[in-house]
Amino acid sequence: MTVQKEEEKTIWDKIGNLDYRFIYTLVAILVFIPLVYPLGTPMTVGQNVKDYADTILSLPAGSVVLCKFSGYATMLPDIEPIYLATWKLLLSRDLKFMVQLSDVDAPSIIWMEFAKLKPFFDNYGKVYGTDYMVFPFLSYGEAAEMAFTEDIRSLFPADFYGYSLDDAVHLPMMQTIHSAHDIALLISSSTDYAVRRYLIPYGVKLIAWGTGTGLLPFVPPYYPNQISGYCGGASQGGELEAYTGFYGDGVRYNDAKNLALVGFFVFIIVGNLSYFGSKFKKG
Amino acid sequence: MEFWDALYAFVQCVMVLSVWSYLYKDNVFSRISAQIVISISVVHYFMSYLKVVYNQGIIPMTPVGWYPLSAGLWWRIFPIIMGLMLYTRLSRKYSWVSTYTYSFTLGLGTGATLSTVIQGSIIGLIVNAFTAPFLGTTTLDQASGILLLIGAMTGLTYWLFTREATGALSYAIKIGRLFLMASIGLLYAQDVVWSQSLFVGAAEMVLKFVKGVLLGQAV
Repeated sequence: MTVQKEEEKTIWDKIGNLDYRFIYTLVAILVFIPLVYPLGTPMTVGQNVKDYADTILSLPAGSVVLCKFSGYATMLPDIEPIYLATWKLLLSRDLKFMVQLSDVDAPSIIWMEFAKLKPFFDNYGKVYGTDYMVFPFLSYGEAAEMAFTEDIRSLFPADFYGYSLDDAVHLPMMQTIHSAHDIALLISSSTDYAVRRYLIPYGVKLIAWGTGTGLLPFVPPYYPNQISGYCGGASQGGELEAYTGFYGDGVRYNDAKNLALVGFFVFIIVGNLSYFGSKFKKG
Repeated sequence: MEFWDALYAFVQCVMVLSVWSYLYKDNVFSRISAQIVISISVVHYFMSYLKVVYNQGIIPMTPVGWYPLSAGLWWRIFPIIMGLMLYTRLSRKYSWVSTYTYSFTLGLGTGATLSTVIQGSIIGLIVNAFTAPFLGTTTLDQASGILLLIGAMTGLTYWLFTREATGALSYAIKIGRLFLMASIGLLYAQDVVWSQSLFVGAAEMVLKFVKGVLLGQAV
């Protein structure tokens, strides 16, 4: 019969083997506190976010903006503050915008967001077909992008509601828009596609919106020469709200995330102390 | 809060709490909620793509006058046939048929990409790497830009395999590796913050139910 010698656990080992449920609970508490009682933690607006908003603000009246909307439900909390602040910014200006739906969830999400913004649509007197319009959902590939930029009607003979793009009664704004030549700005959720298909052949100005993980790692090489500004993740969504003055959930989310990050930092420090402490103890 | 809004908030709250219960341990609620989400997603995706095929492929093919958007674009039958050919992968005997669709799609995508990839994704990025670091308006921005340029240059040396890593090159590679590790750490940090955003969004759903439905407060 073999007798297993059980090693005596040090305080460092005990700290290192902390029950993960304790960590989850603490993080949950730290998230919930600012959501119930907003703390108003200070925020700095990054240059990329300023450039993102300034690019829209600098467009001449009547310019056409194409928005690539890939809002998918599971990622929404990370990107919705950006979407909402951007819609408000677009609605507040004398601009026309078209929306491409590039994800299966996007057709549901877009109308949910526009319903939230009904007071803005009413306040600024924006009318569907005259000031903005939505294309039907399509999963875009390089060839589809190319077709769209060359001749919008070759890809979409009709809008989301089934009105022909040549229908001057329901879609008067589309009577002067035929290809990427008529677009002044593209708000894209990807970088390389947008540069290849819009900037290089047509000289369309680009800015980018997206999730923290889906956009931020990829966009810096293109900024600021090719992509004029970008805004990624709910944190920068909060910055955009603060910069444009269209406050929403982004600022509140930043509060919650900041406090939760304090918890993460504490656990990172504790984890490292445990690791190096037990290493030092063992010699 | 109206009845349907309250019901929506209730379903959201129950689903979120069911998923979170997995963090304690695997249980029947977390499994049921996962199955519901997967099932709905599959049906949602299938129906959405079917609608695209119908609206973008089948309706425009029909002779002018049949439907408001009929256009007589008979050639749109070809993409539909190519799409159907993909399902031959379900048969071992005929799976080779699907390769024609793959090769056609790849060829089309590559051709379209190549037309602008050199100017957009190669020359553009090189120009950006050398000019963007000097666009900073403050001393800190400029110092940060120069650091970025050093990082880009030394990071590139890490991928040089045509020369033995000795002398100055070995130091450049070591520095480049540090920059690469730092950028990977940044990616991980972004992933943590992204997960936090999703968590905050879910927490908001629970709060919405508690405040709006249980406490009857405005949300």
